[in-house]
Amino acid sequence: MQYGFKSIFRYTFKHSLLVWLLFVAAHSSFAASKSNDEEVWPGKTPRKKLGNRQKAVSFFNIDVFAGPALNNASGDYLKFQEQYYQTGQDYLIAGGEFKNYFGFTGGLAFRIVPFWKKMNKLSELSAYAGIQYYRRGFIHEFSMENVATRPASDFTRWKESYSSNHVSIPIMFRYGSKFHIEAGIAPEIFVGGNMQQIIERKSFGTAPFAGGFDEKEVLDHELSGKTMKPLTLGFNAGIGYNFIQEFAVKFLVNYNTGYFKQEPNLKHIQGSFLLIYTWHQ
Amino acid sequence: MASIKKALLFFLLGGLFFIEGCKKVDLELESTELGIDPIQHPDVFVKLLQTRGRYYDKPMPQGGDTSFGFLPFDYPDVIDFQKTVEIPISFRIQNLNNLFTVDSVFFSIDGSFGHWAVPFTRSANVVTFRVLIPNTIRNGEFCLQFKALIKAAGNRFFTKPGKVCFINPPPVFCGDTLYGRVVVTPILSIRKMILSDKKGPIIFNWGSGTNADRFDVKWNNKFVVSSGTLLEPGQVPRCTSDGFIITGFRRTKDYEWTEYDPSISREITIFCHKGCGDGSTEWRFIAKCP
Repeated sequence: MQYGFKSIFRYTFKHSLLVWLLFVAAHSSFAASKSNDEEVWPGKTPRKKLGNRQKAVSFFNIDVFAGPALNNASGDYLKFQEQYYQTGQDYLIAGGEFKNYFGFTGGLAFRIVPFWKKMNKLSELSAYAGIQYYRRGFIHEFSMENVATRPASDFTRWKESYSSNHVSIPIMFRYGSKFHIEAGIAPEIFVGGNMQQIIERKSFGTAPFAGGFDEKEVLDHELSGKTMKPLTLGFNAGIGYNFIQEFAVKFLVNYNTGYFKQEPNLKHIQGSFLLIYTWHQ
Repeated sequence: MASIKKALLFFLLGGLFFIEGCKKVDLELESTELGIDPIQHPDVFVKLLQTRGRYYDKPMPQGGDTSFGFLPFDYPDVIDFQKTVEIPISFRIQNLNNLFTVDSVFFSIDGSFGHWAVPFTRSANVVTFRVLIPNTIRNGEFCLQFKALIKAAGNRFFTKPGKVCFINPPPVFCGDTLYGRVVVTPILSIRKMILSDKKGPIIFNWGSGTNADRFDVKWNNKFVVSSGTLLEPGQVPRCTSDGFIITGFRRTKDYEWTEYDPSISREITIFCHKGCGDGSTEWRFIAKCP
């Protein structure tokens, strides 16, 4: 687990903390107006008189959500990079692997429940649009060994990490109340990112020439419209569960086939585990 | 209370984007190729060179006896690094008799901080040196600076520095015209070309001006077309420096063809060698895909 806790902390915790702080702040203010009322879900017959609890499920709702994501990249661009393993020299052996990227998803959605008063199956249908933020990317690690220097070892190790930020305007349809499923499209706008290269060169082991050496370089590059596709179309699907009326968890999958401006390109599948806070207006 | 909640929301979400926007970066990425830009990052590029020596993260030793030159010759000027390329560079050491030994060769990249030292124990005034340029270099131009440490009559001294420059051009495709113009040196150009995805006969057209040149085309690690005798897979068109005399120099336009199957390989390597002893030349090469 080379990218275990360190990566999770680096890529998700700092983002999640901000938005979860928001949840806590909002929830504390909401809790003041919340009594010991029983939960009411659309499509279910209330067991008690609704009273002021009717406001808990409403026509207009605002969802705020955030959480960590795991991004998997695939596509022709990975094959293109694999070509670099063919060094054409017997004494230079190269190989590598692509790793999943720990990202982040968050945003704000305005959701309407058009048949919320009917208290039947139709009342479980809702639609939402809003603004959604994705942090995604991919990691390529590969190494070259110059076996001509044996018995000394001579390794060159690379790590290229693409991290990009995208804002989308999802248009989604949801069905269900306590358990719900949803799907829709998400036009995505690239808003920035960076590519980091870490390069290590090391000569060591048995009698390296003149004692060997150990060098490391880290380069950061800005991603811009020169290399990144500014507008792409993503597809979302998710499943959620409201564990209390104003809080829910959701597993959201985003699929996008555009990343770079030029071919070969990347495909992304990003699975996000989201915590959702809902204001019922 | 509602307005406070909204303000809090926008403040926190705004903070999220602010953090993203404040990340420190060096340069704008120009290409999605894997690798290092040799112009922007010579300090990194020099560390990627492959040779049997030691890298020192400090400048190359200063000074050199101006009486003794270290003159490179017989190297390609244009190389395509879609695959790792080993560059043979020969050096003549001028104004020395036979009572000397080349102790080591030092080299660096123009603009880089560090340098390499490679041991030599050879008593000859021609040193053939090989440095391998990995394919992890982006398109661009770069120069290698060399100097040799000489042992003669109990003394050690550096030669004058020598310099060779290379161009790593962007990939060319079937139908593109490859063009070269050579003045005195270098004598060999190596280029790679990406062919189409259709199977069938492929025609190669070439032409030389001023002086006759030799053309060789390598596909799937074998020479498949030549303006002279087909070479063995391990050979490189060279003049007499390594005992291999080449023929097949043609001045006028000519063509050859071969059967092509993209499922085997879509890449060819073109070698253009100017006539041994010739001065300048110009050449063109075009491939017509099925």
